[in-house]
Amino acid sequence: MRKTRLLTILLLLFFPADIPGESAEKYVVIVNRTNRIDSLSFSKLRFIYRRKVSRWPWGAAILPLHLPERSPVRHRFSTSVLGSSVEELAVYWIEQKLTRNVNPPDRVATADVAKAIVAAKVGAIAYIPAYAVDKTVKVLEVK
Amino acid sequence: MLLLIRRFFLFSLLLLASSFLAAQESGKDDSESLRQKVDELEKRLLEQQQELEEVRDLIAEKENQPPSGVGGSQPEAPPGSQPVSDVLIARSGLPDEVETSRPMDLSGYFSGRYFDDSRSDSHSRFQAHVVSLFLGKTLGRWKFFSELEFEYAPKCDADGEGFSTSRGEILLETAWLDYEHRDWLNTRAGYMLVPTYWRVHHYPSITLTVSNPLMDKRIFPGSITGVMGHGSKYYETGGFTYSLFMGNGRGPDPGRRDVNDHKALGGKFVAHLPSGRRFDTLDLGVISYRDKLENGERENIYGFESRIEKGGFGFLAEFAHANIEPHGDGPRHFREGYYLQPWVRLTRHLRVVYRYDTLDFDSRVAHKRDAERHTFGLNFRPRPTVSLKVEYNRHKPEAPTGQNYHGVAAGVAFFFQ
Repeated sequence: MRKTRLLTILLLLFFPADIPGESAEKYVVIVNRTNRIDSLSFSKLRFIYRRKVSRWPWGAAILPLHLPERSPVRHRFSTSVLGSSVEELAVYWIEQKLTRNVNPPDRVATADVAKAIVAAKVGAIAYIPAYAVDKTVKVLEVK
Repeated sequence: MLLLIRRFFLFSLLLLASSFLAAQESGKDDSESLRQKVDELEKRLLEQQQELEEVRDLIAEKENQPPSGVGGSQPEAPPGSQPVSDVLIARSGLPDEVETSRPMDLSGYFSGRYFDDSRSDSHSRFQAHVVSLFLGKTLGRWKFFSELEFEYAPKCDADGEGFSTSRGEILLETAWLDYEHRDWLNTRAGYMLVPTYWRVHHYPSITLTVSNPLMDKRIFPGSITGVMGHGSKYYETGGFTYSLFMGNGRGPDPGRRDVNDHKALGGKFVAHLPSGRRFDTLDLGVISYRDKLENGERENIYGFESRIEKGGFGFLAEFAHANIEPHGDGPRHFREGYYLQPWVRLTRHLRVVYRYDTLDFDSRVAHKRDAERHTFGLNFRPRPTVSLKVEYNRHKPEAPTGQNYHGVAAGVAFFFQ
C-alpha cells in the first residue's frame, strides 16, 4: 500500500496532470468560415490586434475582438501575441487615439458572444478558449 | 483540598466558556466573509441578469425590424447572417458600416505645468497648459477627426461694447476628413499636423518630458492646410508608412489663403524595419518639405528620425535642416536642430529620461533662440491615463548676451475618453 502511494506521488511529480486553470487559458484564433485566410503569422496577428492593419487582403474590414480584461485567456493572448501586458496596451491605445484616431478592438463579454459575432461577420477575428470552438467558425493556424 | 478542587473546577469552567466564545467569534468572522462573498456573487448575478435582459430586448427589437436593418449595408456579409449576431455587433459598437447610429467619439486631455529657473528676471509659474477636446466620427471608410485646444486658461468676456480676452488661446489644432481606400492608400483633407515625429506625438499624455525639444515647430512648420495621401503597408515582419502632402504653407492666414501660387509640398517615409526579436520597434524615417514664403524666401527642409525600443529601453532622435534662399541678393543661410532622447523603464510605472537638444535658428547670426539644453526627467504613470513628470534642465544659450541657467519643471497630464 505504501509503495503504491509513493509511486503515485512520484508519478504526479514527474508527470503532472493538466491544471484546469492553465488548460482553460489555451486559446485558438477564429475567423468567419468564409474567410479566405487559413493561417497567420504571430507578427501579422499582432499588427491586426494593434490595428496597424485594418483590412483583409480582399478589402473587407477586419473586426478584431477582445475578451474582457479579467479573462485569463485575454492576459495570455496579450503577453504571447501582443508582447505587452494589458496595462501597457492601455498606454499604447492612448497614443493611437491621439496620433491616429484609432480605437482599440472592441471588447465582448464572453467567448460565446465573440464566436457569434465571428460566425456572422466575414471580417471578424477573435480568440477564444480552445474548448469553446465549434463548427460555426473557422480556426486559424497561427505560426 | 476541597478548595483546590473547587478552584480547578471553576477555572475549567472559565476556560470552557472562553473557548466557546472564541469559537463563536471565529465562526462569526467566517460567516461574515461568507456573507460578503454571497453579496458579491448576488451583485454579479444581478449585473449579468440585467445584461441578459438588455440583449433579449435588443433581440426582440431586431426581430421586429425589416431584414435590411443593422448590418445590411456591408456588401461582404455572407448570405444567411444570423440576426442575433448582428444585434450583438450593433451593441458592441464595432468599427464598421453597421455603426452608423453611433454617436460622436469624444475624448481629450488636461495638462498642467510648473516652471522655475535660475534667471534673475524669471519668476516661477504654474500654467493651466492645455485642455484639449477631440471629436471624431467614423462612417464606414470615412473618418472625421478634430482637436479643439484651450491653452493657458483663455478668458473671453463680452460686455456688449467690447470683447476682452486674457493671453490664453482657443485654437483648432487639427481638423480633417479621411477616406480610406486601403491600408496603404488614404486621402485626407483639412487642417493637419506636419508629420514630424514630435509634432504628431506632442501630446502631454504620451511625451516623457514636460518641455518640447527646442527644434519643435522652429524648423518644420507645425501644421498645414491642404490635402494628404497617406498609408501604411505591413508585411510578415516589417512594413512602412508614408505621407505626401500639399498645402498653403506658412503665411499670415494659412488656414484660408496662400500668399502665392507656389504651394508647399512635403513627404515622409518611415521604414518599420524587421529585426527578428532584437527590437520591439526599429523605425527609421526621412521627411522633406519645401515652400515659398511671403517675403519671397524659399525654404527646403529635410529631416531624419529614429525610434528604437526594446523591453524597458527606448531611444528617440530627430534631426532637421532648413536651407533658406532669400529673395534677391542676400546670402543663403540655414536653420538646424536635433535632439537625442534615451529612456529607461525603472519600474512598471516609472521611467527615467534624458534629452540633449540643440538649435541653430539662423546660421548668419547668434540668434536669441540658439541654444543647447540637457534635460533629466522622471515620468511616473500610476494609471495608463495619468502621467506625472518632473525634470531638471541645464540651458546654454548661444547668443553672447545670454547666460547659462538651469531650471526645473513639473507637469501632470490626464487623458479621458
